[in-house]
Amino acid sequence: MVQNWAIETEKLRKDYPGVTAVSDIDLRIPTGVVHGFLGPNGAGKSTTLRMVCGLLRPTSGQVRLMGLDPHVEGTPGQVGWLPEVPPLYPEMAVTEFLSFAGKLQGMSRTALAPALDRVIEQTGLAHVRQRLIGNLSKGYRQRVGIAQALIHDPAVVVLDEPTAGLDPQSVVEIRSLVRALKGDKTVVFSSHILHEVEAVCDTISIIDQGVLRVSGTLAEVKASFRGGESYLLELGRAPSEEEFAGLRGLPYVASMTLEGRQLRVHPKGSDDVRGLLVRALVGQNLDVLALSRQGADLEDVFLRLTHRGDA
Amino acid sequence: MKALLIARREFIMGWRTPLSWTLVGFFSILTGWMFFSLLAGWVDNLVKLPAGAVGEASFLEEVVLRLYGNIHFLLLFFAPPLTMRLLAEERRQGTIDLLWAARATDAQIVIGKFLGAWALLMCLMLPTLLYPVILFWAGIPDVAVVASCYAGLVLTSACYVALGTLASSLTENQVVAALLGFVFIMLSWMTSWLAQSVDHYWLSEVLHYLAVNAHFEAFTRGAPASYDLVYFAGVAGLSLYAGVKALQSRNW
Repeated sequence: MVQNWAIETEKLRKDYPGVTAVSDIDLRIPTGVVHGFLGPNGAGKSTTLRMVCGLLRPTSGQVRLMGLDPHVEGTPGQVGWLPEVPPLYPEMAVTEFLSFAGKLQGMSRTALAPALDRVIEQTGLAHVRQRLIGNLSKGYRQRVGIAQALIHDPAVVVLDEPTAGLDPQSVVEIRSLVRALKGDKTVVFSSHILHEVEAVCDTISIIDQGVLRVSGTLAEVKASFRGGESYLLELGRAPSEEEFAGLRGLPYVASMTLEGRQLRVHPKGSDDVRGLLVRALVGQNLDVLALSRQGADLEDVFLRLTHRGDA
Repeated sequence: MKALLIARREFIMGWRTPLSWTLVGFFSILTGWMFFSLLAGWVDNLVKLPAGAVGEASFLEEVVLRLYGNIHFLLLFFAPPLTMRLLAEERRQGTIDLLWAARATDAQIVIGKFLGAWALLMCLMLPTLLYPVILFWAGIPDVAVVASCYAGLVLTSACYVALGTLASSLTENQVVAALLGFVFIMLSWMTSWLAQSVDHYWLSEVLHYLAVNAHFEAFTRGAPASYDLVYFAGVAGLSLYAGVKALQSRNW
């Protein structure tokens, strides 16, 4: 079966004088999913998304959005883009602005009226539709930004950090909106907030220093990253400082923390070292009362891949 | 189509900012005062001089041509504030993303912005139409010269707005854009002063051709030539082309 990719990039690269912002990114996002695009500040997320949407020309490589190259064939009406700072004219009223955005996308007057009602309902803007954008709260402005990305009913919606700086209620509402778009549209959602990505996204990519570190479904990414696992052991007694230092120096231990009698061990590599670990503890007269293996969570994966972890 | 949509938005939104109304107010006050002063001065001379010494030609020189020359001079100061925000503000606020995401080309964006601001500047000059109406009503008709002066102002405005659009494409700071716009327009004036101080014939001729005031004067004389039109089209076209290139520099 041929997979339909909403977004497909091949060796996508963007160089600026003296710096490579994005390096040889091969990304494939299936249709109908919510895709989380993760990375620390300055990782190249926005640059990649801008190239995907056709706003920025890549130095080399290819982008295909719903099968079309946005830099060659264009992608008329196929993509809705919300940058980190919503592109809003504060002197315009909400409906006036959305009409302008729709007309810019080539919508006819007859198509515009129902589309306006649809996005205003979708984004919960009904009671502020006649107000000036400049007088709206940050949460409502963000909704107007999302509404302009949806007005022309695009197949792909790209949202660059849509919840940044919003109050908790607005964050929850925008997450619900993104979830509601799933299936009907492909949503690419960049964020710093890892639990938000876990809650909303089906597939994720992690980018760091312009390089795509990992991409796939949440389960695939976690499973492929066994190095992110840890062991939680309950000991018969708390080890002395010398014993703890000795255990920490074991060649297969990356890091180790101790809280009372609970020992958390992050192993090096992906080999199962539970047997070795238990033998080492028993060898030091430390009884092991319980041992459990804990899978990597997204935070572990993110920190390790972006070199922010201490491991 | 997208250029016209952008131009329409620019024009309508221009009237929602206090700046445009302030500029219209100041421009009308200044031109009104000039018209009154020139007219009063001419009447004073008329009273002092013997009968028949001051004719229609003198009125044209002393009042009509001076008035339109002064209006032209005022544009030097009024065009940059109108153009400073065109692209600088779009880039600073990130709203240009809306246009780019809608697949508006850089040329459509620049032309749309230019047309919107040009129309605003035309509106700035609209109240000055009252002065020729007063003159015609007073029985001093010279429709051809006045029409030619307005044609000159319209074309000169296009040049100034295009230069201001270019300035606005080079920076995200509106104040810097206004200053740059002023400098660009000023340079188009200064070449005529340079032309007068240069001894070399051809260099002087080239500098004279590059001076915007020389071409505006051709209109005030009521005798514009095709090369005057080529000059205005050339300056506006090149400025807008450079503005497009400045926007495209994001890909460099």
